[in-house]
Amino acid sequence: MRSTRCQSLHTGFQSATRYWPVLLISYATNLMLGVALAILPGISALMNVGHLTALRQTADGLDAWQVIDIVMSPLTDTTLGSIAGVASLTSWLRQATLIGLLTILAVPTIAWITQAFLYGGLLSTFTTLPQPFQLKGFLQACWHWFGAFLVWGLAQAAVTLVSVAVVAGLGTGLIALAGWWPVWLVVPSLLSIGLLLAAVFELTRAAAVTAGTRRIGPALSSALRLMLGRPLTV
Amino acid sequence: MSVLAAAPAAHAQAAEPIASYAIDVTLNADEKTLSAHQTITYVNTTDEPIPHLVFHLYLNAFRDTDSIFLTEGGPTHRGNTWDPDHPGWIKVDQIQLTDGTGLELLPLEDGTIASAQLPTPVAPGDSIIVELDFRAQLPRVFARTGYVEDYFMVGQWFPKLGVWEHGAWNAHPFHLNAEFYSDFGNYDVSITLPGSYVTGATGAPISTVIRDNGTQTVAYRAENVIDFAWTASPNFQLSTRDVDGTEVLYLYLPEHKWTVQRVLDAAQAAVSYYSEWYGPYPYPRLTIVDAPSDGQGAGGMEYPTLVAAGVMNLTGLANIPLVRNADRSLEAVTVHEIGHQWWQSMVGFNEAEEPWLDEGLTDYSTLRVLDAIYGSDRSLIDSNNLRVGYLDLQRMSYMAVPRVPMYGQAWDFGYEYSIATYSKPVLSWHTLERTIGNDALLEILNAFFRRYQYGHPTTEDLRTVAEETCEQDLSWFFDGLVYDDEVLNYAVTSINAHSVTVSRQGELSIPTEVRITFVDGSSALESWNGVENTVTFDYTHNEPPIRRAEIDPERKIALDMRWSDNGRSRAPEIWAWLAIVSRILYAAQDALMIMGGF
Repeated sequence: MRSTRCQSLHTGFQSATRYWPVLLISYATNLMLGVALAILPGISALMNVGHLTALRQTADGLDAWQVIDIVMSPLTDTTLGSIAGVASLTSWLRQATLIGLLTILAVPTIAWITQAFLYGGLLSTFTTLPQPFQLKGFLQACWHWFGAFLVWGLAQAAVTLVSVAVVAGLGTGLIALAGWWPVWLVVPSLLSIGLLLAAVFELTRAAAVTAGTRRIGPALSSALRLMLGRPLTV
Repeated sequence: MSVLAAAPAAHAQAAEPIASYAIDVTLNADEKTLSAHQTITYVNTTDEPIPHLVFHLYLNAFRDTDSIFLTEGGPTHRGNTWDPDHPGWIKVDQIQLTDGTGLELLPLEDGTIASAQLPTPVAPGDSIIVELDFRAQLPRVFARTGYVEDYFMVGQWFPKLGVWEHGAWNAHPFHLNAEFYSDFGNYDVSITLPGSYVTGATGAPISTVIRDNGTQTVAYRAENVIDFAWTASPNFQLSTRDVDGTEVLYLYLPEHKWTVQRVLDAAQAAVSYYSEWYGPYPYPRLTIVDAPSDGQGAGGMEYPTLVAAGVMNLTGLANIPLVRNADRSLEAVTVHEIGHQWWQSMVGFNEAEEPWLDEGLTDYSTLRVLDAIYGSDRSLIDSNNLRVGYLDLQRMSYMAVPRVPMYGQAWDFGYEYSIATYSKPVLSWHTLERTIGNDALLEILNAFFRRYQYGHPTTEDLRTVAEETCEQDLSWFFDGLVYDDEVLNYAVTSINAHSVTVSRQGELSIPTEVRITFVDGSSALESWNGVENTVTFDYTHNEPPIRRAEIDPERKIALDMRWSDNGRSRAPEIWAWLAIVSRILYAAQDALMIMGGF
């Protein structure tokens, strides 16, 4: 049955409030993963610079002089050498850089895996409205859709990266030729493409779960039909 | 033909004119050439007879890549490249005394200086009048002077005498890093050029004659100055402001209309503050000149009563329209070049032999003005998420190459020139100010300015005045920083319940303070002269245990190479650490949400 927009919105809110455990699971996952990502940098900072009074000024934002001290510390060490008993900013900078790089690489990977696992359970739960939430069913659904959503997540990342790269490349060329004004075209274009592709893949997942198929072709067709027929869904 | 006459208000203080110039010059705007007749009246105010004259012919530095300037530069200057298809040069066609006695001008070194033997030496107290006819080709602008299409910034364009002192001419070939040195005098310059052009120049306009053939002659007069520069473009627009009786005139190009308010505001602050701190601006007018976007080599330069600003980019943000209001490179350059009116145009330092004097004092003065207007933590970049002070930029530059003395001749320095003459002096003067007090420092600079206005002081003269005026020991400043390359880092190296040890790295020692905070909230402020490498402050067990210790807690010593190690706590700063970790956590959660939805 074709629902009106208001009915759809109402159904959505109803699902969200009825299945509040799903929201709780989502937030708890996000928090735990955040803590896991913050642990290493936190421990590194505590071990190396935890006793410095400069840390007190860092608490409400980095001052320029602190950034300069850190960034220039390798050169300063070359000029001055190290002081016995005093933790070196340079070694902490190296540690922090390495941890930072690992974290930056880890975040998309963790996000991809988390989404692939939880999304199937979340969508499945919403399709069972008005049945009560069942943890076992939720976890089974998560596992059932995990493989497919892992692959689709990779596909989404690849398509988005290529599209953004193409538009960014064309935009850069245009800016080089015409000056700064094309920025007003390029940036909205990049954002629009990112949002559009995200919407396509979100709807594809929803369509797949609704239809009960793990084949991307039919799910994608269904999603595109929905988008063209009801653009507001985007 | 019509004549427009406007006599400027004469309120410049008297100086003894030594080298005065009267020049009639014609600009061929199509060929970018000058042709001129010049009369120099020179007075020998020394005790030595002068047997010959030595002239600077600066434009010959841009003739070809054999010049010292272009050889040393590669051939670039501040990121701008010389155009071999549009070189510059100057040629004196005739030089003679007023009685018709011809002189022979012989080039010296690479042609940027030349000498003319006199039939009779100029005796002490006597004067000589010399007439020259010369031609010049202006280069496409890349090192302060030249043209871009119909924009002209004409500096170092005429045969200029060196400075006779200690029985010889002080006149060096034009080196890449060297600037200029000349005597005070009066200038009367008449510039003939197309009638559609708007001009600006050193001094103030006396008259304008407009001819029926489409040309005009604008006459300028300047008194008690060391140089004369001028600018012309048919595209200039004007904006003026009265600052304490001085007319500040800004000549800008239409594409830079957005700079008008900012430049005039900065100029007003600069003139007001410098007049208050050092001495009044004695000339009736100050002209500020814009530079075209593809001719920024003309900007960032000072001449007596005329400064070339331009939209320079100290931070990398200035040319990005969306964020350029957050960047204060424009104000910094404007304030800096105006500062040279005091430290160069009125106190005539030898910029070639002691460049740290005028650049260092001027850039330190720039820091003072910018911090006074905008606040020290945001005087260079001020946006919602990023604040950087002018001092921060200088500290970063200094830390890259700290081991360089400030004193030295311009050609002694390579890439470290800007550190030695700008960054290190800024930090040094700022440290001196914070150490001896603002009033004491201003007393030194005020005394120095009063004694040497319209003079040619040296570093030793500055030291003499400083040590006469200030009762505190300044040997660390002159011996450690000006003449040597000493560096410094103070650190708290250990902290126990009842003792604190502080250390000094490097050779430089500057008196400082150590603040000890106890667990009951009380504190003690200890003095340390910084001479010993290590000092321990002990407290009895009757005193509460120590919570934290900070050396130089107010960060007065800008030369300290690492402020981060200036303070330690006995226990970890847990609350601050938690605040930082929670920011990392928040950022991680945001990133996960954006990338995965969870």
